[in-house]
Amino acid sequence: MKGRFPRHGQGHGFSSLPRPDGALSRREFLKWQMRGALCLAAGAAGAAGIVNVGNLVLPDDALAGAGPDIALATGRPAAATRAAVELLGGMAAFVKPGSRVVIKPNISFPNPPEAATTTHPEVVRELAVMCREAGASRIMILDHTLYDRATCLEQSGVADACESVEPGMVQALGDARFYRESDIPQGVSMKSTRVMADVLEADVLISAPVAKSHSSAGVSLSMKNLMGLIFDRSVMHSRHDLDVAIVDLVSLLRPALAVVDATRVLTTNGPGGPGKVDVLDTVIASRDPVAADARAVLLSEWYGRRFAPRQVRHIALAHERGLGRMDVENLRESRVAV
Amino acid sequence: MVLKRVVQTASLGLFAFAVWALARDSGMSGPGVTLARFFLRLDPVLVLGVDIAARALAASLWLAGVVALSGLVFGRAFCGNICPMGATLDVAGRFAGRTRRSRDPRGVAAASGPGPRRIKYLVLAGVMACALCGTSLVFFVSPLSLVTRLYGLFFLPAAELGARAALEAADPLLRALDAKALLYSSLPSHRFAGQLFIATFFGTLFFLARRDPRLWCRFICPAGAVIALFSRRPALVARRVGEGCTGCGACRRSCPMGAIPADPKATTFSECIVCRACLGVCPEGVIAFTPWTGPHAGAAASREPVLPSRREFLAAGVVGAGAALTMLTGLSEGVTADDSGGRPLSPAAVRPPGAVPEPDFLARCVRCGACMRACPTNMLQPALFSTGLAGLFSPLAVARRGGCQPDCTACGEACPTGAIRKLVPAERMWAKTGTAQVLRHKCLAWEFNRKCLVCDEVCPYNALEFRRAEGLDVAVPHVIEDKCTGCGWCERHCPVTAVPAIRVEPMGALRLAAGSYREAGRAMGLRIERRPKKRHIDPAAPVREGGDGLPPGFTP
Repeated sequence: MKGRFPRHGQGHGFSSLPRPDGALSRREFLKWQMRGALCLAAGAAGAAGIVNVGNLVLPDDALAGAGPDIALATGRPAAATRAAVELLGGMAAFVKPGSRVVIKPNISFPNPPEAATTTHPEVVRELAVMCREAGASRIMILDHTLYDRATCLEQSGVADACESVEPGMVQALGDARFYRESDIPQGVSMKSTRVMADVLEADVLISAPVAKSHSSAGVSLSMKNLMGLIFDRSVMHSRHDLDVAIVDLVSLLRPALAVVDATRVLTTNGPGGPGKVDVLDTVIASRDPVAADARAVLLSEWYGRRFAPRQVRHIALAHERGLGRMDVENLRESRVAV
Repeated sequence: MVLKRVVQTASLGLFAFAVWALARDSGMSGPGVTLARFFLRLDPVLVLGVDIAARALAASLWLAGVVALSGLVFGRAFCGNICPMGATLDVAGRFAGRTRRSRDPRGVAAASGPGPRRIKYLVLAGVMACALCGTSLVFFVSPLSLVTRLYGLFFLPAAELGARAALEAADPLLRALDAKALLYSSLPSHRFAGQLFIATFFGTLFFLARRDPRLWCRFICPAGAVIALFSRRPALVARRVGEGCTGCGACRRSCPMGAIPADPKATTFSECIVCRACLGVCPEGVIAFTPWTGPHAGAAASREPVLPSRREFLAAGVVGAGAALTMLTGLSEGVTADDSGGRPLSPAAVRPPGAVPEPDFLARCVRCGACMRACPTNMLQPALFSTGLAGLFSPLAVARRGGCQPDCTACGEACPTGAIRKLVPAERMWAKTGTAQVLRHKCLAWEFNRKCLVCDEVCPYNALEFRRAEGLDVAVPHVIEDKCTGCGWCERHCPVTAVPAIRVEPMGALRLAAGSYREAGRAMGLRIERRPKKRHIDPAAPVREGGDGLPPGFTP
């Protein structure tokens, strides 16, 4: 397994890493361009006296240029969630009025929030409320649970917490009829899979995992979390190399926002536990799932030790394939305590 | 007639709902369980047969007693108005386009002597004689058991199959309307063994219903016979024919039970199910159902004999006892407690968790299929002949279909007779149903030297251990039998097709009539525990990914 992925800057012409020669990467170049365009547009609109910023149609990346790449908020679950997303420009930066949103928490285990095997209900609820405030027309909170659906919904507390936002918005979908076959154009190992129809039809996907260790994948964060949106999870273990298949899935689903619930972290015996639970009262948000996951790896200890993001193979692979950046030391990070 | 339709429809609807709501996935296990058990316990033959065969008085005996004694007050109104079996046959008769004939359709009323309707008393005598010998044939003839099985294992799965297809077809529409309740509704997709038997039995009854909807109730039903025994002079609703009867015989022809003899002013009350069909057809409108006011011209009990002769009774009893002896002396029957002497035990006889010892289990189990309907993983399946005649349609835990969920107590909650004990959560996992065994000649690791850990990964009790074996590159599975509960998740997920490489057999099952499973299990040396897999704690565990002393899943 050693040496399977390159270090920073080695090979891979389309890598988004900062180059040793100091030249701009494509991504940075685009950002720079967009920032310029934004200033021009704002200036022009201001001059004409008809500013209506809400109607400015710009790629998300353009707005991102102004804010941090990673937001870290500490505090109670709901407040920290809101604060972290606000640091990224608020939910309105992701959810346009009328858009359809799918939030993917991890509610795959029939355990209470204290076990740290599932996303905290208040984190999920706050995300749903923020999507509603941003004017989403349809918000669904979906998972394909590993255990009995009703028990998972009940035990995790997520169904109860979100019932008041909108009845029926939390669903655990186990039936094949909820899934549609979808090609994975950038798939390396997994070339197609059945994905929840709701996800394929959604405008915005938010991956909202709990931070926990995972016996096969090292950690289960916003990328591994996406496995709960497909029908046949088990082939990712049996037929494919799990880490490669996770990255394949990320290349297809591309969450617009990753919110990692590290209010409690299951640092051992994940994904099912019971294991050591560290209370870190932290929520990490980023529009880059690789960066969010990498930051979460650095945030906590795992099995009593510290690990670099590259030591989690699927994070390193995703970085290598240009799906995001794990070199968080080179990214802008904002922190807030609430 | 209207009243009867309303009551009967309500009863059948309630019954179907109860059986439907037995399934856990519907999220309605509460009302379903209580109601379904209530319906089953209405059947006097079911309750009495079980109590006699199992030599135990159930607390619910009073309910069946109330139904039996209701004959004194309401006659066989239960049969005509409440019984879901009767209602189902009525519906089938209506559906099948019952052909009315001008002459007495049954040809029974005019016959002298009790005719074939005495058969039901003989069936009752046979079943009770068999029960006296300690074994049960109740499941062959108990109407509530039969009809619960029909709905739970046949009608509802079929309806759910149809509903799934409909939901799939309606998916675009439901999405357009965003009708979440329907769009995301999930239906169990249960399949059951032995459908052909149910289909044949009820297919025959339904076919005969074209001519005679209540054939079962008149000739065969032993529960009807019990109520009939008390229905000679129903106190509250006795048919009475007033002044003005022309003796046209329209009522006699309309009676589905043949309860009106040649003289239409009289009534064979033990056959009358108070369906009031006669009331509707009487051209003179002189028929009424009123309290019994003593024998006179209009409310006469027919003097026709209805009971079989003493000799026939005895013969039926002998047949029932003979059936019991057949089972008691059969080699592969589980009805005797004689475990010594190398009695072969069917390897298929893995029973639900909490099933009482086999002989008692077979005496109590009425094969209603409530546990099978309730089982969320569809693991519980009716036995066909693998456990002998006495085990016909009894529940088997078929692990290849589904595993037994560690926290689930649905089957014991659904069981109306205590054949499966209701387990409290703390006891649940100690009710060991069997032991898994590795079939090394089929195992990917043992036989083919391939890395496979599936049985270990899915075991909720960490009862599998992978060890190094000489001559193999991969670690191979061993079952730690005192940690294994026989839940079967290993067998369910074993990737080896046809005969799986790990199988649960009833070996070591803990079958207790009473007392704590946990205490008994501990006394036996069982070490059942739900706990994290050892390899997750011990990073140095052999043959796990992430060597170099790293925790699982991390790379250097």
